[in-house]
Amino acid sequence: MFKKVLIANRGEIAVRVIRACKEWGISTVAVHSDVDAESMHVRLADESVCIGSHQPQNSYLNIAAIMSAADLTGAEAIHPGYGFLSENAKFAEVVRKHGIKFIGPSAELIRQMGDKIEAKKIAKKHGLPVIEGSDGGVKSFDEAKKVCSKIGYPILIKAAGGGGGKGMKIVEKESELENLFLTAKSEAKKYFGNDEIYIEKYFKHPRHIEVQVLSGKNRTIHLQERDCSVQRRHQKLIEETPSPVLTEEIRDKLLKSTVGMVEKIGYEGAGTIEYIYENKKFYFLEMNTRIQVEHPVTEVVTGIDIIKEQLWIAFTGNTALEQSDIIPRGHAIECRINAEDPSRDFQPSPGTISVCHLPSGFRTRVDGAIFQGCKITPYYDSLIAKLICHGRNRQEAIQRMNRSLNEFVIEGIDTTVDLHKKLISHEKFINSDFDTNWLSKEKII
Amino acid sequence: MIVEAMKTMNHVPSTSEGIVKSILVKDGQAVEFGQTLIVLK
Repeated sequence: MFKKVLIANRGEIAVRVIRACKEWGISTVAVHSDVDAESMHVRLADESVCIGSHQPQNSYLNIAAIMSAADLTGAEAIHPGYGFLSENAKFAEVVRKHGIKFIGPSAELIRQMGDKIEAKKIAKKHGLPVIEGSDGGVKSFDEAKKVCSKIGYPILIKAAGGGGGKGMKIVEKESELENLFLTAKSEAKKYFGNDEIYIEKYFKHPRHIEVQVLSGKNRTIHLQERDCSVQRRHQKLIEETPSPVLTEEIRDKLLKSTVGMVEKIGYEGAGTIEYIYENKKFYFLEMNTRIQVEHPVTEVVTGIDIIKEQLWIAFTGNTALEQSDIIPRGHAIECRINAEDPSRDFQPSPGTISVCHLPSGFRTRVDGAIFQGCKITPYYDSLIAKLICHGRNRQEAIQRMNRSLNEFVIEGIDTTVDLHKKLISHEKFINSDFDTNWLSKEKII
Repeated sequence: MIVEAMKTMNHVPSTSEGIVKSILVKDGQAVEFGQTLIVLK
């Protein structure tokens, strides 16, 4: 196994990766910005290197500084976590050229899957159903108008290089198209440095369902699906597995076709294929070529440590697991605890955590990087912790989540804890009678 | 006006109508809660 791994990330995911490394006796290197010097991932790692100032481009996105840190500490592999450089093909390539193992797939696959238009073509070619829309980038307003009248309103404008809901626009009718088309184009340019945008059919009542895979040179397996349909601003808030809305027949087809596609592209590592699900049909959305925020729900039902499997695949090229090793038990739910004020449209709430008490107890897991006295700065993502509860069935998982949320105390900043208490006991959540637009339509806090 | 925090662009709507008399902050400058950003006439 690797002797030393550098974690090119911060927050809870850096802590998560450090923990997995430690269990296998792998020495860990944390990198951090100046404002993160006191943070949890720095405290837990065996070594740490300050790589720049608080602006992400100067530190967590600073490839040269990260490579220097790897060189300086003699790290043999780099785990990119999620966000930041995790899906940056150039970074993966630079790491490889330096004789260091990038824990993830090849730069070429990252590039292909990161380009949503190309990813869609690949998915279609390998037998996955895709969403109706423009076959590639849409250059002009006139072209956009033609495409939209063909597929019918409402439509969705998306950035080819985008993600996380940024640069997306819903267009309800033709009269709104010109304005929103131009705004989307300029936002795409600003956020992603690429103004290419494309158009898709917009779904009125979609569920977001995704499949976790592990793949090596020897084989590809799935770790079942996750349902991530409770979202705010197109970002996930609650995730669960198994999905409460899939029939066995549809699940079987979904898992089989996903594994088939991933096998054919020669993928190495952990990955997730995301789908939109509506009216008993699923449509390929995108592939994430990295670990995901919500991976713990899969871990607690399967008993598989996905980060360790990533390390193993990176080291050996193969997955040690077979499909028959994956025997999910019960139901798991994750609530994302964000430093946000849900009553003010999820406005970010940076500050100092004055009181911090994390829930625990039977089948309760908290993945976080917070502690009493820690500072939540305004420079990074608002996710500060994840609460994961496992039950013998969905009802028990909900009851346990409710109990755990009531134990959670965070003072000094606003968080999504109280919102989750309401959501988890809401009739619509209990009955799984909601879609990804639920929170944008209904005021809960 | 847009205030960026935690990777989110937050629109700050004006609390009243008026003409912008002066802008007290620069693009990219860090701001705090309760800070005066714009003076309206």
